[in-house]
Amino acid sequence: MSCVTVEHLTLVLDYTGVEQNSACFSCSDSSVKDCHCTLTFNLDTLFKGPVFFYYGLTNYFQNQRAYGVSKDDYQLSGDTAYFKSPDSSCAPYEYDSKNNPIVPCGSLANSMFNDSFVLYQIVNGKKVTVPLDGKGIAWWTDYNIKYRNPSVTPLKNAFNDYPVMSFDGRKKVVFSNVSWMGGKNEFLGLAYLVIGSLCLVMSVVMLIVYAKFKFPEED
Amino acid sequence: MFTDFLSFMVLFNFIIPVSMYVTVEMQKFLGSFFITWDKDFYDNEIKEGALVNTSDLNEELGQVEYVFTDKTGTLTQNNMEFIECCIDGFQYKHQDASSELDGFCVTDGPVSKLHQKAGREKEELFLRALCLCHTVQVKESTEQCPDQVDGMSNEVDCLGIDGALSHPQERRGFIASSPDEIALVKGAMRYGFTFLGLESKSMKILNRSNVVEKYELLHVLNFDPVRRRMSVIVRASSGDTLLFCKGADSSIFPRVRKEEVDRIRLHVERNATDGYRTLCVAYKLLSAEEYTQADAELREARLALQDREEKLMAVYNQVETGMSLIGATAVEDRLQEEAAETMEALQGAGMKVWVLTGDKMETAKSTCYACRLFQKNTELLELTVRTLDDKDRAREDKLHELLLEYHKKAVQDAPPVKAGVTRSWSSASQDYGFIVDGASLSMILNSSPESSNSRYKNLFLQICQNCTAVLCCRMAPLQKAQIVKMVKNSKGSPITLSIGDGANDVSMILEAHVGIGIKGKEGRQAVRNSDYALPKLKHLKKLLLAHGHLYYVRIAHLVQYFFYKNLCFILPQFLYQFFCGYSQQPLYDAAYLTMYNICFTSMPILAYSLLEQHICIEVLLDNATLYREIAKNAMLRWRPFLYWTVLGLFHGLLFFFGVWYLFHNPALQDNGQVFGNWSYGTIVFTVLVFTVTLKLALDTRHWTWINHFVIWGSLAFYVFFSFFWGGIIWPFLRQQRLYFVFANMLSSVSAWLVIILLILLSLLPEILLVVFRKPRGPHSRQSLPVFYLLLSSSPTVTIHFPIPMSSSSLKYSLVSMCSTAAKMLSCLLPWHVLLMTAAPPSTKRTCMKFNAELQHYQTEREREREREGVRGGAGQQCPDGVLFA
Repeated sequence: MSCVTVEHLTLVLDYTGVEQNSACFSCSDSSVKDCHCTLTFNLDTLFKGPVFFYYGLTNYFQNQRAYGVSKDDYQLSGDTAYFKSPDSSCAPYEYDSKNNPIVPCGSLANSMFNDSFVLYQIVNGKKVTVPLDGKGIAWWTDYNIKYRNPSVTPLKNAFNDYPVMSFDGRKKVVFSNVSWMGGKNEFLGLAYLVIGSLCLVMSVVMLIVYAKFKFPEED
Repeated sequence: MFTDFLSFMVLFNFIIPVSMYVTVEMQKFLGSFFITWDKDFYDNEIKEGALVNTSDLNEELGQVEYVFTDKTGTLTQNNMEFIECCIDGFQYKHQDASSELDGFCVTDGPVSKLHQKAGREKEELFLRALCLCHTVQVKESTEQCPDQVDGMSNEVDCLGIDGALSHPQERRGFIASSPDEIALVKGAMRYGFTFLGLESKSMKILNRSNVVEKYELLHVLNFDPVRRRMSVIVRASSGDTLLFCKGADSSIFPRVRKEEVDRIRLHVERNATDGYRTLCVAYKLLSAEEYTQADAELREARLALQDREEKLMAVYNQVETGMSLIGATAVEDRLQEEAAETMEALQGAGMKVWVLTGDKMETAKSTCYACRLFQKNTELLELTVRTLDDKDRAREDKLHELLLEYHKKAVQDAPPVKAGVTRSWSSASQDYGFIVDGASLSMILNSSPESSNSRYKNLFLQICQNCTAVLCCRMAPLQKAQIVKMVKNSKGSPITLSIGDGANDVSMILEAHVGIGIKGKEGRQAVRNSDYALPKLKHLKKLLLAHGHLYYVRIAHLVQYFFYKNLCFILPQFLYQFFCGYSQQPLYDAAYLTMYNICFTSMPILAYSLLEQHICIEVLLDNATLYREIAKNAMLRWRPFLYWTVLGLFHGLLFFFGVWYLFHNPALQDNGQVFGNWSYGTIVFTVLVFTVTLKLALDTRHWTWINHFVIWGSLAFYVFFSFFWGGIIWPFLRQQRLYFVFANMLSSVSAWLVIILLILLSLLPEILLVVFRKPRGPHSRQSLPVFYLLLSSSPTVTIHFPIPMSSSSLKYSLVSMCSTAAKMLSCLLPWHVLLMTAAPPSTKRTCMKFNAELQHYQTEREREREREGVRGGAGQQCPDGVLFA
């Protein structure tokens, strides 16, 4: 039923570069610094906006318990008192080798995804940059209340070879548009259709049974 | 590694429903109040209701297989009425004895005799004996009629004496530990001998010629149930020392002369067969030497420091010998209200009723017939001293032979009864009643220490178990307990219930699983030692068939439901471990983990387990057979357990993987924002809380405002709490995991859709089960009787009920139309439930209500028919409750 209004479209591109013929094969070698790779793709159908650009990692257990708690919420909520002495839950990413406190500390911050992407549209052989908004991708409450950005210039050392080979992961970029019920999800539609028609069939069967043996006890 | 283990322990310990114990305790405690509060148990005579001494046995009341009942005061009223006496072989029957009214206070005139044959001297001796041989006290009071005196075990019987007596005290009360004694004293009074009281060791009697006689009371040889007699030693004003003894015939006959016995035995036996309690009266003239010796021995025994009881007993036995029999009395003890109906209902419910009494066999037997424990076609198997006495052989051999014979009859030749299925009404198999007396029983239980002993016991037990009713007469109190113990420890350890009113029942009340005391006339010992105390025997029916049945169903459902709801609570968390690198990451927030069993899902099940009536009480009382459906712990067996476990597994899997499929694309909102693991857990938890609560709502047949309040209140509280918990930065929390998770979840349409889908899908099989389940039992026999009544019986019915019926038949045709509509609806249930979730419970309620009305209508009709006398041959309850004209 969701298909009525908006056509959900998703495009997934793998850029891990494990395969030899991949354009990003060079980037799978961790020794290579400052690696760039370019993926070219065509869109057959029109993606009705707004289109969202996601990155995806597989085999990456974000919900690992020790990983999930390895952060200092006070630091993240902008309490500068905790900048000098990060919470112990951040260990082993509390202090760097020179015993300076790490801000933001912990595995979560340490594993921040830092590949950078530029999206071009090729118009008549020329690359035209497609602007990425980057706004409103976090929950408003998370962004404004729970994790207030401290007035510190964020770390800006963009690498673009986020390592995934060590845990056998894959890196993907996803283009997706959304409807009123979110991104593309076949499960809900299918489930509703199957269960709905099942119920319909059952009710018809029961109606027939009922019409045929109206009061079976009476006989 | 060990910390991992501990973490998993913490994570999964919720599968053990610790809170269940608390809820069960609360259910039992609060549930016992419902018995105390039951207005049907309130008795206007004693101005008291039921008393619950333990809250632990409510559900056992629904599992009773054996009922051991006392006779006197339990099956009968213990309201004794002097019927007749027999003096020296001649019968004396009072004119007004047959009239029902308390015809005591009628005459003071000459004894009305049927055959004036006994000598006057004998008569007077007998009446004096009645007046002297007792422990009755006179309570003289100016009040109209004091209902009860203080003091634990005494009862005042109030009685007006007609003006023929020229005494200042017009009204007097007698106080005695046993109502028999009062009846006897009153009986003597009716024949002209009035006991005036005991004053400083002298008993005063007003004799026929209105002369006061004085007797010095020298000794009282107290009554005890083992000796079954009591005596007094008095000195008359003439100087003669007399011993008067009264007691059960079996204990008196061996102590008097043979030729006297023969004259009186006939009367005693006839009286006993009529259901009267008989006592024999004997006397002995003590010579001065005899008395001195007896006096010395009695004093010595009374002062003995060791084995006083035994020594006293020995002296008593020694003194009470060589007496001469003067007569016998017959006292009637009327049946309790609805005793027969109650016993019939208990038997209909599949319980075996055993009567354990200290009375004579004939008396007890006639009571059993009166209570319909024995029916006309019941074949009685008798194992008593009478049947055992055989000139040729020793008792042991005869016992062995009889046991084998009865065993063959009742056990081997009986049609095999399938285990668990007790005999149905329609089956034509022979009913057996078993009668055993104390002497034979002690032979079976504790006689020879040989190996055959246990064999006898087994044979005996098997015979008893195959009989519909067992009567044990001439029992000592300890023997009663012995019997209860034997049955209690028999194969399958059946639940036993003892009911009694007197101190002699205490041992069996304590021995049985459930002990019930009747607030009768023999004091409070039974009540104080019981688990439940009832004012009347008739209340036992409701206690077992309604309260017991309901509490069993409630507690069974409670326990199963607890395991189920914890299984589908923890299963998703378990499954989640496979998706988080086995890192013991909890799926639900700590607050949810803690509050699930305490706040979100505890109240509905508690309310259910207190208020549920899956079948209306009236129906339960009218159809005793329903009790059999839950017999042998039917609801806590493998099948229901598997059902609940499978349901829990199904729900758990559905919750987890349903949401898992949804999270294949975690962008659940129209702004493209993604949802994380806490959102995942919260969605699962929301589905969980709603499903388990609605599942209970589907199971609830009896809705009260409390059910509505706690069920919808719990859900509302969950929503409110989640908003509140996620809406604030709590200063005491280090991680604000759920910050705005719930609100964000609700702003996602997909989340809503998946929650609704999963809840419906979880409950769908349940609904289908309700629809497809073969109509079984009386609660689903909706349409048949009404249609039957409407279609078939219109001519006769309209004749019987001219106007009121037509209006009510209109009402019932309306009801039947409604039920048809409800049926149509329920056939379309799966479909329409998608549109309207609230419908199924209400539909059920309609059926329930309708059924109750139907039942009422049925009973009304039945009553009407009885009144009309149209009741046909099918006087017995019909198997399926259909009435045959």
